[in-house]
Amino acid sequence: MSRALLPDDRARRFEQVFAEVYEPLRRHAQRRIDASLAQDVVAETLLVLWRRLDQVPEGSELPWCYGVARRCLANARRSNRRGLRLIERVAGQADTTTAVLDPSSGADDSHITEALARLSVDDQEILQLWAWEGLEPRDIAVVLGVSANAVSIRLHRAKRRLRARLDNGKELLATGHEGFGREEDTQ
Amino acid sequence: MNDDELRNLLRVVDPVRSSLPQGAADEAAAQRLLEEIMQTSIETPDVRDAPRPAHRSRRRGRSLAGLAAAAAAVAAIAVGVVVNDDDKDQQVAASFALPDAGVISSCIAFDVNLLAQMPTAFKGTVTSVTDSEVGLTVDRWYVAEGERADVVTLQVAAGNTSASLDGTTFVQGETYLVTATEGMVNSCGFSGLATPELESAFASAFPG
Repeated sequence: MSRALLPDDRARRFEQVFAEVYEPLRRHAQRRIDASLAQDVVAETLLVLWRRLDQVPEGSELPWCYGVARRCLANARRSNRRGLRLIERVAGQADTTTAVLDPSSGADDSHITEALARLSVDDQEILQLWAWEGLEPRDIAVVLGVSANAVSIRLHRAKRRLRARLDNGKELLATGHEGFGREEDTQ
Repeated sequence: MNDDELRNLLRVVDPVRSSLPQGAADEAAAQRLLEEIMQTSIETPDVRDAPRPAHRSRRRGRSLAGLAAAAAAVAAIAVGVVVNDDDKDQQVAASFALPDAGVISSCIAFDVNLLAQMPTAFKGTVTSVTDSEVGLTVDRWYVAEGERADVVTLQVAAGNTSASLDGTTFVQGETYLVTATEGMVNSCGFSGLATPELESAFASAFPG
């Protein structure tokens, strides 16, 4: 843990970290909650960053912020049930998906969304941090508050389950019949 | 399918994949947020997720003050210590409730003196995790009310979908330091993964 920052140093460091994390945090929140709530989550996270700047590990500022955002997102979802994650809306009701899907993506992509949405919440979370935020296991460890080793194991298993889901999805497209039950029930 | 292919597939369905980069209006909003935040005090009591600055905000959406977490003390629910006489290994078992992750609460600042007053404190390693409970074997007891259990079960609160504490889920094989009061596990940093910092705090709080 670093020692307490002097006011000028604190302001300078905060401005620096703010500039680095603001846009990634914005995208992180927009992926996971309704746009109207995403900016609140970003503001809350940055408030915590300002207050706890002394505790933020150098070199891990962004994963640390994602860790804070994670709790803010959980709170925001609970207090506003309309704030479904975009991925839930995409995987769920067909009539709301057209607004959020990339217009250039084809109908084939629905099997990816389906496969992802049918994994456990923990699997989805770790895969999203890996693929969308592009985090390495040691950074995911900071976000989730667990060891890098635990992340590596969980990530490996989540990838395996996703691959199995995707293969099942292809079977479904090909034959119209699904071969397996929910992957997480058989773990 | 290798990792790169899998990652690329996932990126195809990234919800913000085709979102436009920030325009001038967004950058101006970011600058305003930066300035507002830097005017807030850092001296107020520790709040878990959303601190309470005193001033008003011109931001769209809720004011910074409105983002503050609702205050709630760490509630206690009485859960008795269960001794399982039928267990063929003659193991003593205890059960505690995990706090409801749906209750937004503000935290008191972590304090070793408060930690030392906890009536129940132990170190345990997770042997099983499900969506409804966490099983641990106790590695050592620091302080216990009544009999010192060999195994502990932590019950997930009703309506919660996974076993977690302070936003982090329990992981099989990991070791945790746990305190409990009146049958409920204490959050806000008074229980957690057995990091060197927390180990040191527990060693200070419970000497000998």
